[in-house]
Amino acid sequence: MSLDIARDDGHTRVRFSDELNIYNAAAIRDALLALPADESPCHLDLGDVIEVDCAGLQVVLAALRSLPASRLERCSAAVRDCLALCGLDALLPAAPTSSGEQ
Amino acid sequence: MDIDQAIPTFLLEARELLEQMEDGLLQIENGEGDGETVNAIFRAAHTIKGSAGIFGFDEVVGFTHTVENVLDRVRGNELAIDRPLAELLLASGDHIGTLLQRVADKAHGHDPVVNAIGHDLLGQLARFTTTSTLPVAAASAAPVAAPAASSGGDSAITGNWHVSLRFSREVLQHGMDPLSFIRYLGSLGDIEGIVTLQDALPPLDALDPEACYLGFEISLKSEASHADIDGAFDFVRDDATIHILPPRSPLQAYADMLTALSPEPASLGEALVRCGTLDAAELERALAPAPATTTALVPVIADDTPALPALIDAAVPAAGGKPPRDSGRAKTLRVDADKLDKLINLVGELVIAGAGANMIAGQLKARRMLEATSTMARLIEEVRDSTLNLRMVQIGETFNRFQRVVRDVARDLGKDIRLVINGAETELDKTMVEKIGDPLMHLVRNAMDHGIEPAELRVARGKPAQGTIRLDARHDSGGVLIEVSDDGNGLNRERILRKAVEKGLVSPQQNLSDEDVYKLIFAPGFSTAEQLSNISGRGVGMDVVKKNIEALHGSIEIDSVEGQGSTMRIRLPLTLAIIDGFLVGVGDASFVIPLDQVVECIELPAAERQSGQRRDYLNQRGQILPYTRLRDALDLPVGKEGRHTDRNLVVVQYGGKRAGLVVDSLHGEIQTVIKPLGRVFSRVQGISGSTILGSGAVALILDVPRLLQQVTDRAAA
Repeated sequence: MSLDIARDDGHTRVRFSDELNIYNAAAIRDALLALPADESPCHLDLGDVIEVDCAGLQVVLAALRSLPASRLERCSAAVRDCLALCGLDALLPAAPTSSGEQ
Repeated sequence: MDIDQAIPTFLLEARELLEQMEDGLLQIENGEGDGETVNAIFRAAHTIKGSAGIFGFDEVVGFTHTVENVLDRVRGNELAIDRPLAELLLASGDHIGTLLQRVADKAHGHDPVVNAIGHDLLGQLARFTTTSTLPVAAASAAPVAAPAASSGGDSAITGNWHVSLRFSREVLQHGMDPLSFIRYLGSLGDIEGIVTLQDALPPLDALDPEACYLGFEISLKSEASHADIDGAFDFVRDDATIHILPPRSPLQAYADMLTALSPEPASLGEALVRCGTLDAAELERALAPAPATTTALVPVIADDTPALPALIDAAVPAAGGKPPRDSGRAKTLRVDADKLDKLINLVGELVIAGAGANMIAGQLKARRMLEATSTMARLIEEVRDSTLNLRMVQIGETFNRFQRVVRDVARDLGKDIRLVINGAETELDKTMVEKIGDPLMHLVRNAMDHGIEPAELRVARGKPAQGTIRLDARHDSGGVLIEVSDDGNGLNRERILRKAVEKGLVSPQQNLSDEDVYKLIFAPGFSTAEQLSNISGRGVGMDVVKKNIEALHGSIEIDSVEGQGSTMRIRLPLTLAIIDGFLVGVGDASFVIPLDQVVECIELPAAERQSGQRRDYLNQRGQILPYTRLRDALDLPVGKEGRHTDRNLVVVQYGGKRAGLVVDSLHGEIQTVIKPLGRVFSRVQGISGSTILGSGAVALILDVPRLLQQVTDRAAA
């Protein structure tokens, strides 16, 4: 698992790759908490995630609620599956809102 | 934390369930089964499917699902199990076993042979399934809504099940992923609506990444029964709060659930509306001040729709069906065999250490110390017995495997043979049970192939056309006696003798007892079958059988009456680890005789002690008792003390034979931990193991059967 953090035109882009599961949920949480605390919108790019479990999903959901103006940017098939399974399709990038509330 | 770690347990349980299925099917085939047997078979298939689903073994789930559908129709009395169907279900069970083996082997991809078999079986099974799995429930469920709603008990309109899940914080740490349960639920039907509840999810900085905060409200369209849906959560029952409401439940039931789950039922109720279980009006009615009675869910259905047993069955979690399995599970505990072995080893050391303490106390002549050590010795003995008991398992499990073997082999041979089992509850050390399976298998196959005659011959001989094989087990003088008997040909003394002479095993002049002749079939490479078949092998069997049994410190003997049948009698010790022994001395050496085999101790009459008059037998209360001097039997040096030598005689017995062993001194009973002898000593006759005495000295354990053999052989010669 690696987190790739980039900043371009006014927003922070956090790119996740490989697995997003209980084995690295803590590391991801810490990495996300270490993001600079400014008000720039945060886009979570999940396009390269190959596996996601409940722990991984929770970190993403918590991040969407805690990070300012955050939203999902790209989603891999594994992530789409997981969100669809949980009835969280509204979070998919096509959706207009940035809220994680359900 | 890894679900993979649970796979071995899953495989173990699945194989046990397959065995149950097989037993049940064989019972039904023999006309012994009843409704409960069918239920048991169904539950077995269902549980395999459910557990396999949790691990995502789709092949197993898919195939077992079809089997389960057929069984469900049997259970609903729509279908009777006749021979062809039983055959098909047995073959399907075997195929599930193959699929499980592929899981165990971590086989990837597709095996064309396995696929072809599976495909063929599915094709055959399809003839027994209808398009709808539960036609009765489906057909009768539809009209329910109207009468139920109109009869005053205000019920929801939805035709979907509602499943509400709250997982414990620890569920992830216990290695389970809540999402996999939802995924599995999806295989039972269509998840038409699901709401993931995130109310409990803390902000990122307060989030414990290994705790679970999510809850789920699910609307499930499915024709599965309550038991099916409930069964999906078998693995997570301790780690979750699960509510399952059947379609068209009374609104009160939804309200009760909401109140139970949340301090604010109304806001949680929104989730039910969003997932489609209730509409807004229903929610409002449900949460409106309730009538005084909060009737339980089941009676409400029962009152309103007395004519709909199918739906009630679906709604009530199989009241009579499930508890036996659950309570059985609660009473037993699966323990790693290695842990048990370690415990037994430690107890063994404790026995030795205890004996040491006891001896020192004796030497010091400290009375209070002696009292203390003897109390301890008694406790150690109890600990030892209970520990060894932990390893005891009933032999029935092994015996039952033979039902299938007998059935299949009989079919291959074109013979009609039944298997009768007695003493299945006899307990035996687990290692022994495992290791005795193969020799027994060989004996049973042999009996079927060579023992039982073709039906015409049997009838001509005035026997029933159906042959009988018996497996009996019972406890007998400190050991276990297992008999494999048939009512067939019996052994042909002349033929065996002729063959043995041909092979140069005996000379034609030798005068042999029947017993000795029969023993010849255990000689390596001996086979008398005039026609070799693929059932009982090519004459490599019986010597291996004997060797395997002897490796377990057991023995085998044969009883046979020509034309009436034969009996193979296997004697095994109860355990390989610890025995009660009787300590004797010859010169400086100590020997242990297993206590069960000691009958009595007498003083060797002075006349016999005269070295000039060695007759090697004496008159014991009117009976001839052959005896041997242990010193001679084991080639020990003659003692110098002269006066005390060869003073005592220990009468031992084994397998119906008695003989005396002459020793110098008797030291009394002792608890003995058997230590195996090294390979160097494997050819030494008359010694079966060694043990360590309290003093630290080594004592050898006598192999009484072998010694007896020597004595009686010599007496007969």
